[in-house]
Amino acid sequence: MKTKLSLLKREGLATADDLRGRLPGEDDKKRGPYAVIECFEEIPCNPCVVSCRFNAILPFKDINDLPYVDFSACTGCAVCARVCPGLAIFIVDESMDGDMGTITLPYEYLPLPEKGWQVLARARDGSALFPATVVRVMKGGKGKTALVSLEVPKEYLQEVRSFTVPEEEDSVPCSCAELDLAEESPTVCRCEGVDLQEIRDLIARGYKTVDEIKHRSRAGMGPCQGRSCRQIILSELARDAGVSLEEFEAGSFRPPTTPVSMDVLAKGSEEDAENS
Amino acid sequence: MDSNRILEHPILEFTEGEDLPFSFDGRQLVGKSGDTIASALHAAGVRVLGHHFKTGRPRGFYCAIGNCSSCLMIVNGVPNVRVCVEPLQAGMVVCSQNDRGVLP
Repeated sequence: MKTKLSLLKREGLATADDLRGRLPGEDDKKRGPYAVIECFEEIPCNPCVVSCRFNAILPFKDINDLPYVDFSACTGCAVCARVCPGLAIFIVDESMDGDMGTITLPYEYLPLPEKGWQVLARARDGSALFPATVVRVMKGGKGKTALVSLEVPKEYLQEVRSFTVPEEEDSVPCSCAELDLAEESPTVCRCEGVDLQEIRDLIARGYKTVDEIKHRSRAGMGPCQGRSCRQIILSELARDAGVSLEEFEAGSFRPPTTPVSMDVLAKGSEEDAENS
Repeated sequence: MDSNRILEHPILEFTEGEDLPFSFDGRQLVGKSGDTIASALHAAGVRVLGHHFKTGRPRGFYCAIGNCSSCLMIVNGVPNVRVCVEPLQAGMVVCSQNDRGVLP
């Protein structure tokens, strides 16, 4: 049975559906700034809950729980936004009169903008939205994550999720004149030199497991033991079958899981030497 | 020469290490203590660490955590050294690897 993957699962982009329960009601919006936590992966991480002095993030039963904000208690102090390692917390303020509000974003790039700078506001998918003015910059504290506030029309407060500082000139260094990237299929298995087109051709020809593809192409049989390519092949297979990654078998793993020199294998461990 | 070294970073802090001379394909280069071989090469502007034995495609600094096989090089005569996780030592002889590696 084919399950349709959400945009969040497929591309990592949150939609209005995913934000349900993450945004305050109209009354709380008018009260003052509030935190929007766009955290969707259940991972063992809790700095936001621990750092909140107002107990405005609902307590976790388990460290893997997702954070939800109690908007009646949240003051928008932004302490959680500073400590979130995933940069997933944004502070929105639409309590002021008029059409404009502010969005405060965690920012870990150089240069750090200054108050008054014009920057380019961007959406969750990175697409450019419009130029926006920096109204406040809080330099990084202990964790060094800086917070930058932009003035944004209220109807875009749930759209703007990053920004870029316009550069004077494009200065990406490139010394790869040997490659014509436009004509090359991306490499999947770096050890054995297998590209994406080769993997897709094999899937189209009916090879539907990681092991079958491994046996045909050698992808995953090099020194890195499939650590670079297995996930990519799995996601290609899942895409082909239209199911989520978890429903696929990862193929066979065999030791050693990390490269070991023959020397170590020949000598054995110190423990072995003692026992003999 | 060290124009590619990161001196300013939004989160991390770096302390300046002492110079460590080494050679790369016969060229004399200088890294810093605390470098891995790959970071010293990167700082010196070296982007191609070898070529793939099958495709001939140039290979560069890729995962940088010892996971992939993109940075395998011959170090002091030993092939298949993951230079991204191998600390640089003074006087190391580093060579590009273009084959599966021949045991010394």
